[in-house]
Amino acid sequence: MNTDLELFIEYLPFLIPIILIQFGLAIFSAIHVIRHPHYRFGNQVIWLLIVLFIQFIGPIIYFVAGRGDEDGR
Amino acid sequence: MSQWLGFLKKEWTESVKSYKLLLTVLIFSVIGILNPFTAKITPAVMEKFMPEGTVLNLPEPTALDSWLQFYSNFSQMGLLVFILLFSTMMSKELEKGTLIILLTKGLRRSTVITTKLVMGLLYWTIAFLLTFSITYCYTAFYWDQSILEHVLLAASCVYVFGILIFIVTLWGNTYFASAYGGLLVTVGVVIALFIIGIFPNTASWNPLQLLTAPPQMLIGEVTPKKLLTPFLVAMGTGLVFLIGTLIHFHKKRL
Amino acid sequence: MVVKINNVTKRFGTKEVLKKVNLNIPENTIFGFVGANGAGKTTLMKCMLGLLPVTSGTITIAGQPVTFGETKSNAHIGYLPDVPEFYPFYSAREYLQLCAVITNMPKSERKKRIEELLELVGLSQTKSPIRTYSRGMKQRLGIAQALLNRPKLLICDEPTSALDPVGRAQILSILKAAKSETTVFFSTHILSDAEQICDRVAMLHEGTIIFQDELSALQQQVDHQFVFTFTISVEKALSTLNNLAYSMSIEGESLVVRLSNDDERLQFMRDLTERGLIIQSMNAHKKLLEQVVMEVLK
Repeated sequence: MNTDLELFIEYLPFLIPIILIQFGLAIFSAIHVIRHPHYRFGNQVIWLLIVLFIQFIGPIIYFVAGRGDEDGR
Repeated sequence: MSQWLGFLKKEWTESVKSYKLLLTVLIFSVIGILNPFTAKITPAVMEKFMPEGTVLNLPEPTALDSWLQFYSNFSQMGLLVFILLFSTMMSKELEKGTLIILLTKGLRRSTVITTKLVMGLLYWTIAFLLTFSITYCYTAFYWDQSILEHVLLAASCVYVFGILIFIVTLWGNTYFASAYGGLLVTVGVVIALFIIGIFPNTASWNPLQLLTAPPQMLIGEVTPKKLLTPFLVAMGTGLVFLIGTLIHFHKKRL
Repeated sequence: MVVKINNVTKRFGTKEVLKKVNLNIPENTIFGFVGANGAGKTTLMKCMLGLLPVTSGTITIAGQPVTFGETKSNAHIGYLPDVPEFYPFYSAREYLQLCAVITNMPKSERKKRIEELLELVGLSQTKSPIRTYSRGMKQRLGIAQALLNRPKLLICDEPTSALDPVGRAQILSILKAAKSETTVFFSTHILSDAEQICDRVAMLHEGTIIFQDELSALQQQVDHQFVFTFTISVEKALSTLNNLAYSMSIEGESLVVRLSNDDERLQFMRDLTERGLIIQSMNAHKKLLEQVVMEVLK
């Protein structure tokens, strides 16, 4: 186990930014999905799953194609 | 000129408000980190998944492995992300009709195309510089890069290829006035380049060389001179598509 | 004449949408352009803006010929599309600023003009982005952007048709106010809207203009006629008045009487009083635009 920990520490300079950005983006997108419940297609559950579980591409697809322009009235 | 800058400002505001700046910065930073990370972790992972007792003679990763990752991640994933983000620049306006009011106010039609082109190129430049500099810094920190040649030049070949692909997308997006139209044209052009690439004697000019040759350039197997013709062909093709877009949009029925 | 449309024909494939249309619009009028949906109103407007090429004929706006694509004549025009689309992330003020930059309006004038227009269309207090706007607000912002560069001609495509009665009344009063500084050319299929504010009316039917004239001239044929209703039924009233020498007729529940001068009108009132007829309502008989249209279409 000792070596694993060493390995882990060795990779920290990579892991910290990657994890931060990935989680940050997923959470940011999820909040956006919840707060703007108007989509060009699909529903809230589908978009939440997409932005939370498909790394990078999920949020991109949501912001480019799924996000509705109108707040609607 | 003030009209051109005014519309460019609108493009910038639009891209920021539609989260394109945020997405570009985050995603291309991650790609930049992933390149050296993947290179470094691959041998360790391989060891873990091999059955106990297998003796592996995996060489220590070098700076080259890190840059090889750059060429597979940035020119595939990166380019895909960029095209996806900016593939609806024209179709969105044409489908909704947001340009009609401004065009009847005297907005020059060429301004619409050129500002969108410049905005797309600006983002592609941001993306490239981010990924390149992050990968460069990590690689320099972990390995010796002096074994490689033409690091920046080799990477900028991918940048040039991205410009060509972006202009092709812009043309398709304007011509078919739909997001899918633009993407289909782009996919078609890339497939065509690959088919052309099957014939070995096309390697001297095929712009696809800008994607495939840079790794060999790093180890000195390909001289930069060899890529001059593909570079010129890429630029020429891009220019043709750009002029085509301008001419088509100038007389487009809205 | 601010607009001269000369023999304009427009074909889409083999379908002739406009057939030799001739239309002249004089300055400082409100020109109503009526016609059923699909009669070709929008097509003619898009041709006037250079957004569509004409098959044959010429259009001149403020002395400048319209060409397809980029056209200099657009500098004189403000245009409100039937469904105006804006950038949803801008506020009304920001959008008008963009428009001001695009029309090359001098910097010193911009702020004042934009505030003036936001006041006119009642959006000066709104700070939220356009994506939250209702149809009526978008339509009003549409008029504001169209008036921004003080155009000689304001073209509005069905500005009222998608709105509720309140929104419609707002738009009509804004258009009426705009008349002092520009010519308004607006299309509608709602005849009563045209009737309320237009000076001149033209009707497009199956690609041809079937009439164009001043609204008052179209209605004049029935001048000097008055419509009365009484507290008793119209038949009874008529039989009481039968022996008098007026030309009278029954139209629906009311009595239409021709009274061509003041003396006659006074005398008729006296006659009514003598016979003990109590008036419930009385007004001048105007032919509704709808009747004019129906007659022409017959």
